[in-house]
Amino acid sequence: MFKKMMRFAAPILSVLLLLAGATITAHAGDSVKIGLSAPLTGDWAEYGNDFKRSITMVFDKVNKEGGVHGKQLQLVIMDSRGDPKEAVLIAQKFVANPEIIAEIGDFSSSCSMAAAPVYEKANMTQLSPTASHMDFTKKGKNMFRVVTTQGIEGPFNARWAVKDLGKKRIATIYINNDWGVDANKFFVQEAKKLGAEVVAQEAFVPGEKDFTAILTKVKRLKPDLIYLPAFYADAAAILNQAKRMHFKTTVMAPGSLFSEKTIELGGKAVEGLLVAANYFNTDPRPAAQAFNKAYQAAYGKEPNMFAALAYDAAGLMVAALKAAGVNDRSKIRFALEGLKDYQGATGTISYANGHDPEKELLKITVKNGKWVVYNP
Amino acid sequence: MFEQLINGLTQGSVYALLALGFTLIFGTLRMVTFAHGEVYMVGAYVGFEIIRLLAPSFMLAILVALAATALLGVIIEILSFHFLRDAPHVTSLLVTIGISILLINLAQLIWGPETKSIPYALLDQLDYGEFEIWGVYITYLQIAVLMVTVLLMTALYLLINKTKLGMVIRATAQDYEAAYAMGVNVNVVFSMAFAIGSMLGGVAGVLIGVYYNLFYPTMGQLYGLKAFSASVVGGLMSLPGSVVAGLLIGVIETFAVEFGASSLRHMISFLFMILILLFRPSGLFGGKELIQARGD
Repeated sequence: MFKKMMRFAAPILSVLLLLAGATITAHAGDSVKIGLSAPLTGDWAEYGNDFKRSITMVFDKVNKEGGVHGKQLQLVIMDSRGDPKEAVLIAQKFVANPEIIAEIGDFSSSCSMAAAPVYEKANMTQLSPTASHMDFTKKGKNMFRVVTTQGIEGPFNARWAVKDLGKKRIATIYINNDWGVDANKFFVQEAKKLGAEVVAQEAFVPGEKDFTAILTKVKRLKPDLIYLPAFYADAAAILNQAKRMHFKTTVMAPGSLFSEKTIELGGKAVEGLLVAANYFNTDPRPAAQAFNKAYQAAYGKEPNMFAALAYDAAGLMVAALKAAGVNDRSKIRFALEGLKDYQGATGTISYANGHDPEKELLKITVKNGKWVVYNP
Repeated sequence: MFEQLINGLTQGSVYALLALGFTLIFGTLRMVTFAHGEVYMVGAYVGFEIIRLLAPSFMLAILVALAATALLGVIIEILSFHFLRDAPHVTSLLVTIGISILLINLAQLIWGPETKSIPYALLDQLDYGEFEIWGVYITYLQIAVLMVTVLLMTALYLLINKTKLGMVIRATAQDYEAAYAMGVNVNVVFSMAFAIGSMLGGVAGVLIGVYYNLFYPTMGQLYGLKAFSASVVGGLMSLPGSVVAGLLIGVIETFAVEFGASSLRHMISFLFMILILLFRPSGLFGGKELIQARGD
């Protein structure tokens, strides 16, 4: 009898919980929970684990110093595998758990945007360190990001390529997802405006490993610069295959390629690659240096840009919790909007004029198998 | 154009190598295995470890991968077919899908989910060289991939048609109960067909793994699907058919990129397969199988 009742009661209960999500307040207890949705397996696992390491580091430090409003911060981690469907399921789990007050993640724009309506409905703040698709923060009032958008990065790179380097014939090879399409679009728009000729725009499907056909086509058009909105595994494959067909030209990419993995997988083929980064280890700004030291002390290796962005996301979240208290989900958003000139490892961040921060990017390149600051 | 043709043939010969395995297994056991792409993946990882840990030698990597994938093939045959011979074919098919998921997850556990590659210091020792023809650089590895495909196809053709073992395999394929009554140890024949088919997948794994120098747990999924399609287009039981179809699909894909949007390449190649099957439901070489269909 009881079993029978439960069969009906369980779905009704869960629906009620979902509906109530908007008004639910955090349980009294000695901890406050933050959700993290990130790819911990799959092709983007390296990025997700960067998130995990940085955020854990920030929370551990805050907890050692007594926590926020006397409560210990606890991170609830779930693996989205870079799959938007999975990110939505995670969002549903997070908003249904009244102990979780806010969320950090996801890594990709596709995942973050798929999950955004769920968070928006529950009035839960969704702070993505890396989602740079223009539409992400337009999905609702609760969406924030730490990274600069492609709307800022693309034109920045186009000016670098056309004005500073004087490139006139440009080809692009980009990953065919939300992020890649945007990254390509904003770069191409600005490059054309500056008078460069865009001779080819080639999209590839995520998971593609054979780029010889695209490269053969592009090579024939003799571009003097290739713009490469892609991630490390793809970019390494593209540049290795280009090297094998003796196709040499200047290659520029968004910050997505700034990772040690790019060099590990790319070898000599990624020498001279130009990247505009949100964060770089030898950045002299004090917040960046403080982060670099703390990360190396904790994990014994140099952090990358994704770790820095996640570090800032965690720091911003802590600052918001301090201002908003730890009892009401809906207050976090106003606390974030109220933060002024937050000194992060990736630059100065304010959300007063919108949920997309504007920052000065750092030009870097690969030289002798190492990332270094670009010096013309 | 010539360069794109070479690109297409290299890509296509992988499909062909894998399709040969499908064809041999289907021809003998009348069973489709969906773990074939994962056998290819395991072969690639075995080659990767041999080159990384033991010696940067192609031959050694291929030999060990051959042994490993043959063993894996026998295990898959026992799990998915031996115990289920009288069960509906769908059951075996589902078991192979299960094995494929299991193998991907095992690879994630052992090697991690991220893309791995052979360190470049080692890869340089494998230096297979290249030559130039009409402004196109072709590596000897590309030639090797093509040659191995043709060689293996010929060897298989001879094995099936000209040797006593081949006769036994053909007899078993036609009617395993009758073959059994004639004193053929059908269990050994089934295992052997699966082992040989899997070895072809293993060789493809090593060759392509090193060619792209990218190793990741899901590397067999798309290739497995493409190769299966090549096998179907080729007529499912025709060895030359699967090679021709594999090469054709590779070339069509490459030219889809050349003349259209690169993101549509898979759509165009699958569209081609659908068209072929609409006009020739039994595939390109469907009428003249090497291993005759059961006479019922």
